[in-house]
Amino acid sequence: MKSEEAGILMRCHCPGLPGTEDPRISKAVKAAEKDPALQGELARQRALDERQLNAVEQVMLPPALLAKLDAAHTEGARKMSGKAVLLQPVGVAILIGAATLLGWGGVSLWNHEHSFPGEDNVMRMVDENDETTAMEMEPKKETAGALNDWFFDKYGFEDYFLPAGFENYQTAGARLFKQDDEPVAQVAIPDHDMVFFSFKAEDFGLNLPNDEWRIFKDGPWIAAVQQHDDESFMVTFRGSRQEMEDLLKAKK
Amino acid sequence: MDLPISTEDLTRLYRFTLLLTGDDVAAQQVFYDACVEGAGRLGSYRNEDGRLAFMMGILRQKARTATGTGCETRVIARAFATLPEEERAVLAGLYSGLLPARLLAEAMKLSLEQMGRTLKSARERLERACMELGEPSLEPSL
Repeated sequence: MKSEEAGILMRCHCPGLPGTEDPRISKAVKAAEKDPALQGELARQRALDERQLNAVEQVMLPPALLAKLDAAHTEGARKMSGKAVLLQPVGVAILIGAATLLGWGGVSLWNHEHSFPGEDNVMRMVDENDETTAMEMEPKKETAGALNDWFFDKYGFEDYFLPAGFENYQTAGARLFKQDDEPVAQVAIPDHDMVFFSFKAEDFGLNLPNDEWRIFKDGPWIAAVQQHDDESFMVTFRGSRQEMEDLLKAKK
Repeated sequence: MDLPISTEDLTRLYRFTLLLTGDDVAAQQVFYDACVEGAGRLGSYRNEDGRLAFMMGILRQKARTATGTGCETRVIARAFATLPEEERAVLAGLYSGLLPARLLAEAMKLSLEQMGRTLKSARERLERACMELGEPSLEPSL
């Protein structure tokens, strides 16, 4: 990362705040820590942030304000009660809404339990499928496993990785693109109209147990991603979770 | 009011509000109004980050038109009040720890680079303002 870029992105860093880090910001901070021209600036920023965060953390939600919010809730609830509420058109709407929310709550809970670190970033890669045109892909008729050298020779990309069972698919095209300035290999496979992705896990905050698949849906796309040490692979196609599970079972 | 937001995040949202408005009384009014307005629409957001970004948007909008009461408040809030609105909102968003940096940038409709530049300028102004308001310089701590 260039010094100028690190000098800008390190400003988004704020120590002690969980979840405020991002792969690009972490890289910028690491670069700044090694750069004599930025070390002082970073130290000054950290000292300022620490003092200000101490002051911010002293601010608590005033109990009177919390009580006022509770009172607004109680007042709203007291205006109508029991059957009277249910008989109102708005009551019916609320019941329908509640039923929908219960269903939605189940979906949300399911999503939460199946989410994983870096999911947002890999979902953005899947979105790339809809934005990629054939013109952007370099025609490449090979087996997927044979593209390792091609990615290295053409782009200097060393992190091309395929799990066992995916090496022999015939490819139609391939390219390397950047997401948040980090390289991602993308390979088009005519069979099933699949698209493979390969990237470095650390670059996108992915953190999965080795060789375990995570399946997720993104619009019409179904995707399965796995990590092996710091290398990651994702397979995507338009289809259902069951189809993806069947595909992965066949690879075991 | 039944808000699908934890008390911890409500506290963070209140901190964000106080830094935006620069005064306790105005902050409480803005916060209350935003909760009343937002309560009915929060359920449509799939995840917590979406709800927090939505609330930050309402708070920011309401804080823009809030009138300060000039009441005595914390030095940090008064120092924040001297910043231009965008710098104030971005730095308040960062310090309140509501969203990861990338989502904060999205909520503020900025790229990470733009947010970095905004934060640089905001911190410089904040440091000057704190010194003018009687906070000691950072120099001894460096």
